[in-house]
Amino acid sequence: MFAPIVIVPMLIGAFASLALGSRGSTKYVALAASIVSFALALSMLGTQQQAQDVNWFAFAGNAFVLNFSLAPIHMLLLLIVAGVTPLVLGYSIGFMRLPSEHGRYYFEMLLFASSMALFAISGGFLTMFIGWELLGVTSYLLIGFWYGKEAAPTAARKAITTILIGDLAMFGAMLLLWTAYHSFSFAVIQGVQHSAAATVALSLILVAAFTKSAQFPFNEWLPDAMEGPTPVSAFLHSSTMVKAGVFMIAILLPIYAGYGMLLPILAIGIVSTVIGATNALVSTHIKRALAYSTIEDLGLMFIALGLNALGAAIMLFIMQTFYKALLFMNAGAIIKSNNTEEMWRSYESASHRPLFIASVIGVLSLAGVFPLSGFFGKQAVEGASVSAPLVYAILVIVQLLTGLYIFRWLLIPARRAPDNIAPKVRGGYRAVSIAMKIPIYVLAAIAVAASALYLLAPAYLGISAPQINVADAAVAFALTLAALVASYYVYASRSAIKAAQALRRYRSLSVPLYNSIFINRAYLAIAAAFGAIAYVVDRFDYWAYSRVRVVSSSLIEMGRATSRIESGNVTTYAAIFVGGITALIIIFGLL
Amino acid sequence: MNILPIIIAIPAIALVLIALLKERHSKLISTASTGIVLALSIALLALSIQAGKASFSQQYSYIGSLGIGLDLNVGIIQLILLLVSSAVLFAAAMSGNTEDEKHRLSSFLVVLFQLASVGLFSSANFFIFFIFWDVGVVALFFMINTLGSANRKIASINFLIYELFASALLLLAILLIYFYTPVNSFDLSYIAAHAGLIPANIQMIIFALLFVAFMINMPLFPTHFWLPDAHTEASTQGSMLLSGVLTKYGGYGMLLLFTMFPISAQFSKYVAVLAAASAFYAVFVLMRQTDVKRIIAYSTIVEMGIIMFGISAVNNYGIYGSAYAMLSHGLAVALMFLAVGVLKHVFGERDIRVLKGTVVNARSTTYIFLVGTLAMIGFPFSATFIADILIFLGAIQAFGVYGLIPLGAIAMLGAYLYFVINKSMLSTKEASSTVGATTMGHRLGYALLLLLIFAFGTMPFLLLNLIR
Repeated sequence: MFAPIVIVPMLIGAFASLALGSRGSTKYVALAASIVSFALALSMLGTQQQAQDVNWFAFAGNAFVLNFSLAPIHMLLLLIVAGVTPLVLGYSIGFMRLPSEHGRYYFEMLLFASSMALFAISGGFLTMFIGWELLGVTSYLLIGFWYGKEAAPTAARKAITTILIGDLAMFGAMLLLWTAYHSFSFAVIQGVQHSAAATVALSLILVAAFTKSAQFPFNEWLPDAMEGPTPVSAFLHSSTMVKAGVFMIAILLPIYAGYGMLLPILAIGIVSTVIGATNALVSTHIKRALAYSTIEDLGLMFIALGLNALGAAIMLFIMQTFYKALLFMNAGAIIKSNNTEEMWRSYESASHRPLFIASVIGVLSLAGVFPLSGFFGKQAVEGASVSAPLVYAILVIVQLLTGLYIFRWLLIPARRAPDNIAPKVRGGYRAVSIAMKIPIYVLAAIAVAASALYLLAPAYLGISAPQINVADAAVAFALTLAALVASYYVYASRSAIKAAQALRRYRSLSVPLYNSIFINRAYLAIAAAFGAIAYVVDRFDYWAYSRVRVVSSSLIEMGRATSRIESGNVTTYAAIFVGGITALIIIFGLL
Repeated sequence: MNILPIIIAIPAIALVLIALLKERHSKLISTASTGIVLALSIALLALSIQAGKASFSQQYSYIGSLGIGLDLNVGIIQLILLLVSSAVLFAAAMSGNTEDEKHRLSSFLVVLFQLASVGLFSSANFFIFFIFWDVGVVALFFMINTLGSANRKIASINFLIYELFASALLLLAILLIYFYTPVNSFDLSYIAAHAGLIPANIQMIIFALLFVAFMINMPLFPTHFWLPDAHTEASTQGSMLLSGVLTKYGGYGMLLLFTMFPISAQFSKYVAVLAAASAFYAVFVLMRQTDVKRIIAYSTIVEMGIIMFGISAVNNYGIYGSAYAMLSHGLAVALMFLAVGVLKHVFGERDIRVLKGTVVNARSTTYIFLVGTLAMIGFPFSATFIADILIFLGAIQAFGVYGLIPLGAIAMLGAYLYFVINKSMLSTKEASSTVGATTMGHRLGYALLLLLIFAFGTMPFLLLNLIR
């Protein structure tokens, strides 16, 4: 089947939503469209012809081709995207309650999903770039969706500005590679020998990947992007957008290995992992903590890629989708019930057993506890790092931090509420709509069942299954258990408040953990530097322009002055005429 | 039947009609005139697609002994420029002169400028080219001078000083060419074929004269000082025409210069540096502006810098990419100026420090501004995307990796436009109150320009397949 067909239902759904607007049917139309797309994606599983090319235009004898691919790795991402979309849209039915927002919301969501689907099936840079750009703009619109809020538009701008750097880097890289190989196709580019320009192009592609996947130093847009509606966060962090960068590098990994450019990937991955894990530990915003956790997860994927362990990266890539979507959806339920996004002001999440159990599944999966799917992802990365002791050591520390922050995330909102608000909060959990609960339960089930993909996925993708070391797993389990005990003691026991006070007293300890502040300051400094240059250039421009203006205004003045002579008065003209003649005669006479 | 003479005749007839008929008919006549010419240009495109190449010509001798005549010749580049100029003119005529009631005057000037533009882009004779050039400049001078806002007098004089200086250089260069070609000739194709025979030092002088003349018109730093004021003070129609069409005169001139005179290849590198510097300079100045119209005005210099950069690569990709970029930029910038004009019309304000939350009271215009921004920075599905691909492929071929440097200017332009959107448009803590409303004419203008941006962005083969 022709690959881009998979997008068509979602696109139709998008424009239908826009046309339907605030009508009650909008949300169901959108959901139906996404389900049709998922069905189409499933039906493409057995497609024989994996590489499909469309000639777009030709110039000077060269064809510019839109490459599509349904090779297993593309198919995998397509299925993830198309599968998560209906869940997120179903969740949105419960979460987005204002009908006036529906038309715009479902339009943007479906456009977002279709751009990611386009990205997934792209078999060449040109197609990928189109999906990539569309992702950027739709995410901008979605992050700034509630533009009446204080911070949302600014967060959206931060995202799009960061992403813009990556967009143009990728654009440049794409053209450099085209000049070298006269093709955009990944298959062709992987098949040819080295060229000098390719090194620059590959570096630019890395920049692009890091901006999209929120890696150091481009990581700070992602936590801010939490200003968007929660379903958007669930979508953005699990299957779309941030995965794009990892996916692109995964596809090109053989080239990076061939050029010996794995080290920067590894280094940036490590830095981002540490930044993500430490900030997640101190963030008190229920969604921001998860956002930093996403930075960590993506960092882990880049570490795996940097170690040339494609299988491990892909494994975590798959598993992270489910637990992260699940956790964000849970966060949405907590936010709705408590009417706040502040962790310390959220309570009683344990009062609704099924939701809490789903949370626990997500948390344990993220912490990497056997036999949940997250275990296979995280352990695959650790297994890949055994050969590099330093990386392994860092990963062990990160493992401990991960346990600490995610149990903290689980336990703080699970505290008993003060008596005066407890009934209201519990009522809030009971009122969580069924439309929100179903996707949560489905994802919880998947987060358990996806473990089977550890066995299935490598065979499908034709890569060797990542090794999991029992001793590593034991160490990881022990660390996670220790983290659980520590978190429980600090955040869930009756002395929680005292403990928090005690921690606050040692605030200086948390400075290295709050390191994202420094990155934000660096952004501001860069912006200020540009502003300073702009100031100087603008002053110069104004100065030069004023000089020009003086000339024009004196010309206008001159015109005004001479216009007095041209009065139409014949006597004056005659007088000037006679005077002039006389003057001329005198002058010539003197000569 | 040949379409070319009709394209020139229609605005000429419309001019007479506007002068003779009642004022209430003038907007209709100008809309009809520009609309018919747009339709005819599209017909030219269709005929070319049918024939597989763009080649139309027609000759009317005027002063035969001097080789001066109305010689018309439309190839692919001319066709592209005819399309963009007639589209922008049609959009400008449809949206009308919202600032005040001088319909006869504004329609007259629009049609006069139309006559100049279609004449300039289709003329095969350097002398007639010059005449149309001056008519166009004069039409826009009066447009700024009589229909603009408060500081229009000074702005128009600035404009005139620069443009007349450019005209003088242009005339000088044309005369030099005339006297130094083996058979004295104004014929462009003849000059192109024999430019190599002109003595090298004379070629150098001709190159310098033409380069400066076109550079003033485009404009590039440091000869751009007429532009920000002219664009800001002109009426909405005036800005659309200035930026969408008039700056393309210079761009077209540069294309002619770099394709006709082999000597220009020698200066390729210096011109590229100048073009890139001009783009960066303009984008830095732009970052300090608060008047939305001024911001868009400076963005013209940025984009024209990119176009010049493409031309300076002097290869197929660069040359045709730049021609395509003139198409895409003309459409996109006209869309932006129209949107800004509507903002001023609806809110009575253009300063981003004052303008707030426009999405509440001017939803379509706000989203048009966003889409226009995307179209300016080369978003896929906009014509600029295709143009940028070609320009930067050409630049990489000519200058290697350094050919990518101007992308930085585009990034900064995009970043600042997003800042503007964030500050004044898509953030609604408070919203400006309205003093006017969007009219049907504005919406039609949006629709036309958007449609063409999208059409040439998704179907580039329509034009690119015609290139031999």
